Amino acid sequence: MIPLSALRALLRAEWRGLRRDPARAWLVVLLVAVPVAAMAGGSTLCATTRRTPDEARAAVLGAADLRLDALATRARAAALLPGARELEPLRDRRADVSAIGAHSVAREIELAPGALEPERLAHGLLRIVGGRAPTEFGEVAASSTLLAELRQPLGGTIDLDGASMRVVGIVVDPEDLAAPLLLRARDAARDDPASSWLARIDHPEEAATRLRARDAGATARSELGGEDGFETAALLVLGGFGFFEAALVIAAAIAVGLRRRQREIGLLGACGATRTGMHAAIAASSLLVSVAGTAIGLVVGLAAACAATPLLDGWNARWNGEPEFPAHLLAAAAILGIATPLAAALLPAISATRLSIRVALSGRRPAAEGTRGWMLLGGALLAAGLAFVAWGARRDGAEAGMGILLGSAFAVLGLGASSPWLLGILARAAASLPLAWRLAARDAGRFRARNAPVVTAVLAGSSVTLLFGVLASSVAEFLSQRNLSGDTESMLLVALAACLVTSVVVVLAATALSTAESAADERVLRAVGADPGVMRVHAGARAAYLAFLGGALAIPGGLVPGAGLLELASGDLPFTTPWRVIALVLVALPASAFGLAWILAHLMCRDVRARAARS
Amino acid sequence: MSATSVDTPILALEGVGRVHPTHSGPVRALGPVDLAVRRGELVAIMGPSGSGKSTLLALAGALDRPTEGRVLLDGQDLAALASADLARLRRRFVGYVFQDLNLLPGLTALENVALPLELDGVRLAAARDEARAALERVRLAHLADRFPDDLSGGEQQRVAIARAFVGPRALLLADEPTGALDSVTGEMVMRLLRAQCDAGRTALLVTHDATHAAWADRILALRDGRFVDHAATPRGVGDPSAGAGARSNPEARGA
Amino acid sequence: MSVRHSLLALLDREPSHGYALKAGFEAGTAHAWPLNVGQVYTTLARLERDGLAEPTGSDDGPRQTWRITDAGRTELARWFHGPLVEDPPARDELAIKVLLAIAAEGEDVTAILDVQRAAAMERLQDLTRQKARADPKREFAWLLLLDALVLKVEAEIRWLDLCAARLAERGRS
Repeated sequence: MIPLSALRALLRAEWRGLRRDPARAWLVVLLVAVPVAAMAGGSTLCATTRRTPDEARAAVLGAADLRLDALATRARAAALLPGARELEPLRDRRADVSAIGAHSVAREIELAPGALEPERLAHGLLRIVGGRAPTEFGEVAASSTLLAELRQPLGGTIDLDGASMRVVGIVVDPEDLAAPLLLRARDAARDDPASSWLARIDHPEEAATRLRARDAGATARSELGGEDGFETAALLVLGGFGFFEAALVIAAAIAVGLRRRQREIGLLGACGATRTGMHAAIAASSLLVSVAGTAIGLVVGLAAACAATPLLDGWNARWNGEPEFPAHLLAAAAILGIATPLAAALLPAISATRLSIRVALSGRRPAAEGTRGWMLLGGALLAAGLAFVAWGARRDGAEAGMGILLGSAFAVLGLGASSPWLLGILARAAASLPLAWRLAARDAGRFRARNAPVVTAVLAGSSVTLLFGVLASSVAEFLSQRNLSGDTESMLLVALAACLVTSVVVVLAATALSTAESAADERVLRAVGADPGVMRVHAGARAAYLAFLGGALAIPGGLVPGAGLLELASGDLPFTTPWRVIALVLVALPASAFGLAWILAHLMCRDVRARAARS
Repeated sequence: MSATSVDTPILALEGVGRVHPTHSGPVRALGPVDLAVRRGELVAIMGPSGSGKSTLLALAGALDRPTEGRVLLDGQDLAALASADLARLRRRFVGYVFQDLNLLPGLTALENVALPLELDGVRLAAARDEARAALERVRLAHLADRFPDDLSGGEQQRVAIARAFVGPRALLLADEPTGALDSVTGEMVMRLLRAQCDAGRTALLVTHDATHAAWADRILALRDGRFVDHAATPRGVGDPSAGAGARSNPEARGA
Repeated sequence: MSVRHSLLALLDREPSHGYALKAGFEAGTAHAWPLNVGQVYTTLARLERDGLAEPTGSDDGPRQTWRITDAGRTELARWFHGPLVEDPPARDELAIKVLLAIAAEGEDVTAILDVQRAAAMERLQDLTRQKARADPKREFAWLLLLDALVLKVEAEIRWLDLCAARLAERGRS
């Protein structure tokens, strides 16, 4: 058990560490906040735009328990529905409407006056969004689409069945805002047969079954709706991927922070701090940062979703209503947000406190840790991944999907886990490279704790890019073989852009992290006469090297599961190598990383000069 | 480098001073001072902390610009050079050795020595040959492929000296190069510098350690930004009526 | 420096006569302290008087050979293994000069310090030049002696620097 006073002292040291290096603390907060905001906002938008079971029921039934679709008078309807406590007639037909110089066809719904009011059975079936509902013959409400077609304003006049009608309101179908729609008032005094009847009734399912047995159309409330689990699963997978990427970069950031505080950790150890105590303090500061990031992410994500809600109706042409908050997904985002930095801090914290106090105090870089363990772990994970993919491709249905997904995740993890080993090998092989690339390779090898997670993050992002690439190019090939046309490009472009941006952001974060440690190197380079331009090229080369390595590893990491998925698709889709996507990952990604890191170095250099000039 | 006669000092400071603006008004860090270093000389500058030693060295190597006076490297006025020219000068002519962290940890000893040549566009193989020769001069050729983390402090400083004299580079500016070393290792570094200067290279050294300064041909003492009047020449020493510092010293004034 | 103990140390190696002792002493101390033969004989006589050394008996004047006695070995061991303590401190003319100059108001102490420092620095340079010329293999003892002298001069310089710094400190406060 750690004494409270010891923990307090260690926490104070951690807090000072955060304060002394606010840029990196904010970077971690940002890295937590972005996926939390994306997941919270995204799931809120999905929930808001999705047709919930209640909305699906309201579109057919309004507030009723049962809908009878049979031409019937009230007496006939009451006879068909014994025990109905309330009945509401509804006529739904196609109508020709015209106005001066214009003509259109609309869906015409006839409801009793006041039927849309709350407490009445048709409530929710349609919505009046302007003016009022028609209450007597000669009045109608029309959808804005129809009014635009007829070139009539609210308050204008249209001709319906030879009669002139005044437009007193604007009405919409909540599930199809763009539909040409007309609502007219039913003359309550006359008992014309109505095409449908809404009823409040006990045991609606039994009544509906009975009616259907007698060839009458009937729908009970409980027979509609039902959850679609796909979006939840997709959001969890996408969100999980986002957090995985964030965790890797956070691990890199924490590794850099702890490395810079190596001496301080040595001093704490020399003063008698226990490893458990230091782990607890590091965990506590990670928790602080993660709670801050999660809170900011939730607030920003939800606020953005709420702000975007009014714009949604125009986008999907349905009445989305108030924002809906999917509690389980928001909880998942919060839990992932808080857990991610804690998980990411684990390995760096262990390796930082495992150093002997003597080495930590010397300030020297510890002798490079062996990478054999990583290589073996990576190899084992990769083998497991390939086995899963192979197994999945021989199965079908859920088993196959599961096998391929798990397999590719394992393969990516395996390649990522072997990246420390690979970085070491490449650093040794870099002797004959030009200076900038040699330094990039050597530094990547020296700071494996920071760079291996970055390579893994780029690898994961590029693997997804390539997976999309395989699917899209195969579909395109399939379509062109059959002289069919289809839009595979736009979907592909969105996916590619998203993954590319993720990877570039990851590399940039890595570049920003490395500048702290390259300050001493810069002094030497300047003293031996390197132009400022050389320093920028070096920053670019560092970023491009990591991006290229991640991209190159992603080729097996993306193509293999892609081939597996195609195999799964009943073998109809031919495997087509997505050369353009490969070029994108191997050339465009490193090139953009190079360019952006160059610009970043330029800006930071200018910033440093400006600060020097001020002081 | 410009064509200069043998008598032109390789480094000359003429009335050079540096004033730092601070919140509590300007603070004079150095000078004005005069100094001339001839080819093949090993000159040491001594003085307590804050006497302006490091400022003088930074000005001499164009790491900082003077607020008054002129700094001439091989007859060239540094004020007339753009930053790209200064960078070229650092690649081809003048090398620095700091107290520590002189080497890029990502490069081997050999690659560190070859660095200025490589930056200057020399072919890799040629740069490495030159670097190997420079390492041999400091008797470290057997450690050429080690990384700095695997070298002792003294070995690192010797690699830094080899780099300062690699290829055509002729002038070394050293700021407490023995500061982080024990006395035996420090003496080894000073012997090495002495041997390099006896072989025709030039070095200007800043130190607070008298035993290390004693290896120099000339020792100048700096106090409160000015040279003190015992610039160690036999003639100057015994004469208490001599004027301000290096000015009284014919050798320090240069040709 | 104790000639007495030095001669005892030489005799402890092997019995020898006066000239051999003189040559051995000078070689062992890198010829830094030349010794005259008279001093050697006087010292040998005193050693005999105190029972620390004795003639071997073959009395042929200047060629007389001497050897160490058991009491001499005990005394030598005491000297080798015991610490040397200067008590009271040897009179130091430099220190006295500076202290008096400070006491005498109106003297430019800084100038005195500077002159002294320059001279010391010059001595240090001279010693360093000799160090640079010394062959570390054949002249090992000489090199160690030079180290000792260098460090003594360095101590003097550091003391002078400290005086200057303290004077400056006093001037400021």
